[in-house]
This record gives sequence, structure tokens and C-alpha cells, in this order.
Amino acid sequence: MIVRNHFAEPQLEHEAVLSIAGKNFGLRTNSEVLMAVLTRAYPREGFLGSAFDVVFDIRVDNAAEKNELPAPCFRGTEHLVFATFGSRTFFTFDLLRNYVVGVVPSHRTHDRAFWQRILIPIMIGVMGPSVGIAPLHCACLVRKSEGIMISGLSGAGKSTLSVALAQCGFNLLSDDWTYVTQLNSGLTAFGLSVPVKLLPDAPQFFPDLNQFTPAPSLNGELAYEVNAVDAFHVGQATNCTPRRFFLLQRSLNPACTFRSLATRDVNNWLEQSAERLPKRLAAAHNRRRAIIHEVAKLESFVFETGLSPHASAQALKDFCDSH
Amino acid sequence: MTRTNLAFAEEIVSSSLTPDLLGRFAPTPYKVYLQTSSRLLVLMETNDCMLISQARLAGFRLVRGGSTLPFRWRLFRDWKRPAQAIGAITSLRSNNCFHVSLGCGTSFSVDSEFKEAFGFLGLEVTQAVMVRHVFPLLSSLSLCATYPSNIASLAMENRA
Repeated sequence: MIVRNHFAEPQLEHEAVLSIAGKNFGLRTNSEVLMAVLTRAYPREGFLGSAFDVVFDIRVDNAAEKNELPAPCFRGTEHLVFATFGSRTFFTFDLLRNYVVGVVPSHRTHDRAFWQRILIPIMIGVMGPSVGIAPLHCACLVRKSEGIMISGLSGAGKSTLSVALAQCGFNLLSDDWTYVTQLNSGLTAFGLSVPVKLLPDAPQFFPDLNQFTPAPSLNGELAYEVNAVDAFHVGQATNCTPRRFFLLQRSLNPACTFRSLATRDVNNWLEQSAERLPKRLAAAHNRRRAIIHEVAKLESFVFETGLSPHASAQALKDFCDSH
Repeated sequence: MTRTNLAFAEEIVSSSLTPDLLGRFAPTPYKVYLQTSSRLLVLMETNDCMLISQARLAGFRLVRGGSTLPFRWRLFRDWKRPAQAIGAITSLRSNNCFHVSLGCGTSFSVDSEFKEAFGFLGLEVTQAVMVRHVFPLLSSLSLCATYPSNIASLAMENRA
């Protein structure tokens, strides 16, 4: 059996600060190339201190042979979470010490899709509560510098509605996961510019998709995963101040309705959708709960629609304009 | 347990419908005390009772829990993982932990501060792999985590 033991290898000599979702990550690596790739993708923004929110150590194994990225596996227990991609690429996330350590083969350093679409979103999703970020299963769109968050059950049509909204003048921040944190300026929502994920029937609403081919996504589901800016020529946002929250519900009735949603109901909805955390992570749980509590105070509505994505988007836009 | 933690524990029970995508709350009902060949007392918790006999094959003795605080091993057999050949063992070290991966879905970490090891074992981890590789590694890393002066003795060298 091949053994790659990195226990006794020298310190990681390249260091940089990455700004991701409003938090500062202290990157340490033995690869100059990887440092360049990640600092270009997540440039340092306004960090003057010396204490990082998360320390992120990545060792690049130059001896590992080139291979395709195997299907990932994510598991966790107590304060540790493991992400394994075969035996040569693995990461451990330590949610008590705010520390991430991992090893990748050298050919993975250039693979921007791996870092930007897979690893960094996973890292923020896993580490978020420990550093004051609530990963919320919501789409988020921005117009006139105000954000709207759209939540709903899987399959309710968040992504389809998000693209339709982006085509009628909103900037797309996220179609699936939005990372919310409390900054000095108030509640702030971040996206990670990951591709939108649309199901195979989406070309009937978005003919631009016909130039692409659906492929298995991270969860095995067949889907179109495309960069919305390139595929649909829509605007993108990286962060916003959220103002309204919509719970999307599908209806068989060809109409749409809006009705107010109580703070308590939004709070319960978001808490029940959030990943359970063990007792040891009580502090992280409380941080996440505090942010969810703030999100629940937004002006909130149930948006029930049986209209097409574009008609629903227009109705939502009109509703926002008139309120 | 503090009052805050008690409240949190009650809340966890009441929120049993919330997602557990990472398998954090998967039960490990089998609990045995083991003594490793280096006389380290270990409390092994697992959902796979076969690991107990495999631990004995690896040279560990079943013992009664004593007054010594044991090193805790929580080893979860991940029945849902498809079997894949194990190609390599890759290991890493951070300030407080040793981390080892044997392939997709099979990895464990040994935490020196908490005196704990947590592992997920895919179906490909056979009895032979457990006896020859996983248990000896867990044992030596747990010993190093307990007595850091033993780190130099880690008998894991790079080899192809």
C-alpha cells in the first residue's frame, strides 16, 4: 500500500490573507501557485489585524500522481468534519479551533473550479457558524442596493426564479446558499459566485441553456451548472444588505399571492433547515441562532405562485417596487 | 454540565428533525474498553461489533474501565459508502491533531487535547486493513497524543 506521510514535513512557507464572506482566512501553503490562485480569487479586503477568523493550511503533494477528482464524501463528528476526495485529496475542518488542514496533489492547485465551486463553499458552509456566518439555504438577489432572500423546499424553484429575476433587472448574488453575517454596518449577505444549478427541464424557460449539456452535480443530481453571467448575460452581486425575505411555495393555481410571514415562523423555518450541531459547538450554534434571529426580523412574505418563472419574477419585482 | 449546556442539550433533543447531513449524530451503541499493546486504555465506541474482534486480532486486550481516564475512539462504519479499493494512506499533522485518510469516506483524526479519535470507515476497510493498518495507526497516534515525546517513534514512512 502506498503511504504518504506528511507528519514530519517542514512548515508551510507561503502565507497570505484571503477575504471570504466578510471573514479573514490565514492561508498557509507550500505552493506558490496555489497561493496565487486563491489570492486572485479571494483578495484581501481591509484586513489590518493579525488574528485570522480561520487558519487554512494546505499542503500540496508533488509526488502524488495525476487523477480525476473522485466523488467527494463529507462526514463529521463532534468538532471535526472530514471532506475526502479519494485518498490523495482530503481536508479536516476543526470547528473549535477554527482551523482547516488539507492535502491535495499538485495538479489540483490550478483547478480553479475545484477551489471556487467545491472546496471554498464547503469550507464556508462547514466553518461558518464557528466564525459568525450563518449559511442559509436561500437564493439572494439585489436591486437598488437592497437584497431579497428567497427560501423554499428543495425543488420549489429557487434557482429558476433567481435566473428569471436576474433577467428582469436584479443582480444575482446566489441561487442556493447565501452566507449571512453581522458586520459593523449591519446584517450582510454574501454569495460565493458559484454556478447556478438548473434542472434538465430548465431549457423550456431559458433557451440559452441549449448550448450546454446537463451533467451530474456534487449530489449526483443531473443538472445544468452554468455561470449565470456568461450564460444569461445577467448582473452579479457579491454582497448586499438583505431587506426582505420570501418563502417560495409552488401552487397549481395559475396565479401568485403574497401574504405576510411572522418573525417566529421565519425563525423556525430557518432553524429547522440548518444543520444540527453537537453540544460541544454550543457557541457556534448560538452565533448562528443570533444571525437567524436578525434575518427573521426582515419584512417577510410567503410567495405562492403557479405562474411561469418569468411571470413570477415580474410579479415579485412589481411587489418589491410597490412596497 | 452547565445550565447553558443543559438548555442546549434539551434543544438538540427537541430539534431531532433538523438535518444531519454529516452523520454527526449517527449512533455508536457498542462500547468496550481496550488496552493497546503499549498499555494505553481506550474506550472504543462503534456501530460495528466486528471491530471488537478485529481489535483483539490487532493485539488489544478487552479490559474493564478503570479509574484512568481512557482515550476515546469513536469509529463509525459507514455502511452507505460504496466499496472502493484503498489506494493509499495519506497523513497530516496540525497543532493538536493527527489526520489520516485511506480513501473516499475513510478517514480519522486523533485529537491530543481532547484525547479522542474520530473515524469513519468505508466498506472497503476489511478486517485485514483494520488489523494491519488502522488499529496500529490509531494506537501509535493515540500514544503520541498522550505522550508527545513519542512522536519521533511514529513508524510511518513514505513508501510506494
